[in-house]
Amino acid sequence: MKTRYKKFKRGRWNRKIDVQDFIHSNYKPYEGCEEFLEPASQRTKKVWRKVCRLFEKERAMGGVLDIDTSVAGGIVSHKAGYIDRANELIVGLQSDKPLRRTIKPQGGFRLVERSCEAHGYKVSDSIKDIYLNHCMTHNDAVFSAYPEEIKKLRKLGIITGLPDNYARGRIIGDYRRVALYGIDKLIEEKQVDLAKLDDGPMDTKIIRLRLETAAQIKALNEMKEMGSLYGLDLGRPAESAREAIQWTYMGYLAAVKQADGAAMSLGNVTSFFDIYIERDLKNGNLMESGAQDLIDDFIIKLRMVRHLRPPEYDQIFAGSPTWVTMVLGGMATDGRTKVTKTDYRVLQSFHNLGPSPEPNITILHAQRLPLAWKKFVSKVAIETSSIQFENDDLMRPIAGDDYGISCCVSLLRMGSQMQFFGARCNLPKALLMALNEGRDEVYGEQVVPGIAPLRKRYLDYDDVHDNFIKVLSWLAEKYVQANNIIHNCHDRYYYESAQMALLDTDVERFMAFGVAGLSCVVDSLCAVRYAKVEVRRNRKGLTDSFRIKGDYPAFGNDDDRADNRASDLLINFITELRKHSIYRRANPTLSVLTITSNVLYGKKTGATPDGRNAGEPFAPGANPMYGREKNGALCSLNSISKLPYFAARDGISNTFSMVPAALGKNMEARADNLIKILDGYFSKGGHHININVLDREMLEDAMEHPEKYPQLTIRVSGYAVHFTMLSRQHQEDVLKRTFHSCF
Amino acid sequence: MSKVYGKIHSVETMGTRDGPGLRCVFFFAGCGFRCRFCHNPDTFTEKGSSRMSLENAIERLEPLLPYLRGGEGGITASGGEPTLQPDFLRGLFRLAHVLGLSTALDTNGTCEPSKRAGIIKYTDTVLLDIKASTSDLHKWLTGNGIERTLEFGRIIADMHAEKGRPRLVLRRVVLPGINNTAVEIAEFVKYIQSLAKMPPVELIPYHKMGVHKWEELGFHYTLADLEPPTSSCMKKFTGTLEEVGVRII
Repeated sequence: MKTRYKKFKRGRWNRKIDVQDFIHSNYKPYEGCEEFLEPASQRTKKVWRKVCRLFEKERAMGGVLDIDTSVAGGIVSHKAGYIDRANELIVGLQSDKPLRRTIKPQGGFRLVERSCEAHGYKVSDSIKDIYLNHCMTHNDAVFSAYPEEIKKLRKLGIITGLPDNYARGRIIGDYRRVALYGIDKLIEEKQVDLAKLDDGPMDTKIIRLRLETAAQIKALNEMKEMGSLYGLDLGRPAESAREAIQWTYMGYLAAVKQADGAAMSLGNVTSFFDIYIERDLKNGNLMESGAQDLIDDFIIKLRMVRHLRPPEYDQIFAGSPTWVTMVLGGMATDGRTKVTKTDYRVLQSFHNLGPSPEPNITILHAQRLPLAWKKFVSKVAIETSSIQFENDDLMRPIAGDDYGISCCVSLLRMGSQMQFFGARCNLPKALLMALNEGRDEVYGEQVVPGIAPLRKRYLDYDDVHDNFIKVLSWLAEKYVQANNIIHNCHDRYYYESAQMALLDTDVERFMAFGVAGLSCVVDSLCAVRYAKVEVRRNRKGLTDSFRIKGDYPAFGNDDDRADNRASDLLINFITELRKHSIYRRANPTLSVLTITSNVLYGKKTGATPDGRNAGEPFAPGANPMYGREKNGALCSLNSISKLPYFAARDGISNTFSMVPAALGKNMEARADNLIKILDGYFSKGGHHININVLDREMLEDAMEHPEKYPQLTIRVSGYAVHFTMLSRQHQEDVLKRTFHSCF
Repeated sequence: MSKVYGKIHSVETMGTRDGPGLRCVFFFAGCGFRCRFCHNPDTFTEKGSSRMSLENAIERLEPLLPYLRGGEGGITASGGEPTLQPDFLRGLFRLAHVLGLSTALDTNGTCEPSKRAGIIKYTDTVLLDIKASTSDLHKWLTGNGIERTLEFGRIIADMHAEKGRPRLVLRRVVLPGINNTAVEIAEFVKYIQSLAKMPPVELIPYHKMGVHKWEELGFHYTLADLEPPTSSCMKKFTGTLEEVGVRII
C-alpha cells in the first residue's frame, strides 16, 4: 500500500472513484464540546490583517480593487498570486494579485465591457476583436435563439434573473477527488469514460458528450499545470492534512478561475479534511493549533474569491455574493453523526477571523445531532447572524449523507448530480395578468393569450382562480423553453469543464425553476376568497389599486385556509413544469427563494389584491408578508413548515429575525431556546431557515455609520451579506421585515 | 360538571421570559392588583378578553408541541392574575400535563385559599411576584396588602422542601429608588431567609414599554418620571442577595 493511504481503511474507494465510501470507512464522529479549539495564531492574524486592509481598499474604490483586462480568465491564464507568500499555508489566488478580478468574455463580451467601464477599465482591443468578431459567446447565443415572447417575459419582469446575461453557476465539483486520487488518476478514469463512447452511432448526443469529456480532460491537465505554478504536484494524491486541504482548494480554485457563475459552492468537505487531520495529529505531524491554522488559512482564501459583475447584477443580488456554500454537520446514513472536530474548527474560524458572508455556512440539522454540537452552533448563529440551517432529516433520505448545498438551499449529491439554474418566475405578476386579460399590469402589453376579461367591480374568486391557473400553465411552458435555450447555449459556449471534470461523466441533471412572491399571491387569493376586493382600473383598463373590505386569513399564521393554498400553488406549478420536455432530460425542481431580489421584483410589480402597493417589495423567499404574522413567531414557522418539500425540492427559504431579548435572558437560555425552535421547526418538516439575532437599533446605526461595522453580517433569503454593502433600498427592506419580539 | 371557560386577554406563542425554556404564555384577563408600574394594564379587567374553552386551548397548543415539549419548556399562566379564574387555570394546567408540558404560574399570590391545593397539584413552577416587601409600600404600589402574597410563598416553599415540588421562584420588578431601598432589600432578604429553603430570585429591570398602554386606555400613569434601573443599580441589588447566598436567575 502506498504511504499516502497508510492507516486508511481500504474499501470500495480503492477500486473506483468513491469519496463517500472513503469518508464512511475512515471518519471519526465527534460528540464532545468545543473546549479543544484554538484561537487565531500570530500568523493567521498577520495574514488576515493584510487581507482586511485590502478589503477596505476595495470598498473605498467602489467595490472593485483591480481588473485584468488584458487576457481572458482561465485555469492557467495567470501566474501564481500570493497575499503574503512567507506566511500562507494554503496558496492560490484567482489571478496574479489578491482581489484582482479577471474577465470571462465567453459569457458575453458586451457584459464584460460594461462591467469594466462601470469601474473605469477598458478591455484590450485584441480581446474585443476575438470575442466580437471571431467567436460566439453564451449571451450572444441565447439572444439569437430566444423567441420574441421570451424576450418580452424577461423585459416585463415576469421571468427574471435568468442566467442569460451572467453565468449559471450552481455546479459543485467534487473538489475532494483531487486530494484523494490525484489528478493523474482522474484523467485515467475520464479516458476510460471517453473510450466507452468510441463505438455506436455517433449522433449529436454522443458527440456532445465526447467533446465535453475531452474538454474535462484538458481542464484536468490545466489544473495540474496550475498546481505546478505554485510548486504543487497535483498529479499524485495528497499525503498530509495540509496537502488534502491544498489539493481540494486547487480544484475549487480552478473552478472559480474558469467560471464566474452566480453561485460557486464548495460542498461537503469537513469530514474529508478531518480524516487527514486526525491522521496527522495521531502520527505527531500536526498539533491542534496547526490544524486550526490550516482551516483559518483556507477560510481566508474562500473569502477572497471575486467575480466581475455588471452593475445590473448587483440590483438583483446585492453585496456581490459568491455563494461559497459549505455544509457542516448532519448525520450519516448508518446513524453516526457526521459532525467531526473539523466542523467545529470551521466555525472557530468565524471567531478567529470574525463573521463574514463567505463561506456561506450551512448547518445540516438533524434531531439526533449531539447536543454539544447543537449548543455550539446555536451560539455561533446567535453571535454572528451569519449561519443558515437546513433539514438533514428531510434531505438524507433523498440524497444519502454525502451532499452539498448549491447556492443557498439546493440539494446536490456530491460528485454525481448537477443542476441547471433557472432563476425564478414572478408569481404576483402572473396573478395580475390573470386580472388583466393576460396583459402586463404596468405597460398593458398583451402577454398571455386567451384570458377572459374580469369586468365585475368586486373580484370573484372562481373567475380569478380559473384565469390564474390558465396563466400559470401558459407561463410554465415558456419558462421551460427559456431555460432549455439558456442551458443548451451554456453547455455549448461556456462549458464549466473544470467542475464537470470533478463529477461523474454520467451525471444526473436537475433543472431548478423558482418562484418569487409566494406569500403575496397566497394572501391576494385569500383576500379575494374571504374578504371583498374591489378593483380600481386606470384608463387603459389595467388594475391600478384594490380596496379590501373585511379581514382575510394571511399566510404565516398557521391557518390552513392560507397555508394549504400556498401548498396547492407549488404543487400546481411543478406539475405544469413537469409536463414539458426538458433539456438533457433534466429533472425539474422548484425553489421558493429570492435572496435579495424580492426588492427588485416588487419594484416592477403593480399593486396586488392583498393590499400591497405598487412597487413595494415582496417578502423574501417563502416568508409571510411583512407585518401580517399576527399569531407570533412559532405560528409563522409552522406555516412555512407546511410547504411541501416534495414539490419544491430545490429549497424553501425562510429568513427568521429576532431581537436578542425575545430569544431569552442570557446566552445560555438563548442557545437552548434556539435549539428548541430549530428542533420544532424541522420536526414539522421545515426545510431551511436563516437565523438573525439582531437589534434593529444596531442596524439603523450601521446605516448611518457604516465605517463602524465593516464585518456586520446578516442573513437574507438563503444567503448572508455584509449589511453595510447593501444599497439603501435593500437596507430599508431588511429593517422593514418582521423582527420577532415579545413582551 | 359544567364546561369551564377562561377569559383570556391574549396568548404569546413564543415566551422566553416567563419561566424556563420556550413557553406558550396565556395572559389571563382580570387582576385584583392595580400596580402603578404594570406593563399589562390592559389585563386589569376582563374587558376585551376572549372566552376560551379547554378545547380551544388544545387547538392553540397542539401545533406548538414540537417546540415546547421535551426540555424545560411548556406553558405559563400569567396576566392579569390567573388564580382569579381557578377552575380554568386548574383545567389548563392539568391539560398541559396530559400533553407532556411543564406548567409555570406567574402570580401575585392572592389565590383564594380553598382553591390553592387544586391548582398547585398541577403546577411545576410558581413565579411569585413580590412587588415590595414592606407593607406600606406594597399597599401604595399595588393597592393591596402584602400578607396573602407572603403566606402563599411560604406554603409553596414548605411544599417544595417536603415534596420537592413545585419549584418556587421569587420575582421582583426593580423600581429604582422605590423598592430597592436598604429597608426594602433588608425586608426582602429577611423573608427569603425565613422560608424553608431559600428560593432563587429573578430581578427584572423596570421598563417603560407598557406606558403607552396606560395612555391608550385613558388611565393616568403615576410613575411617568421613573426611569429604568441602571446596570450598576441592578448589580447592587443582585450583589446584596448573592452575599446572603440567594441564587439569582
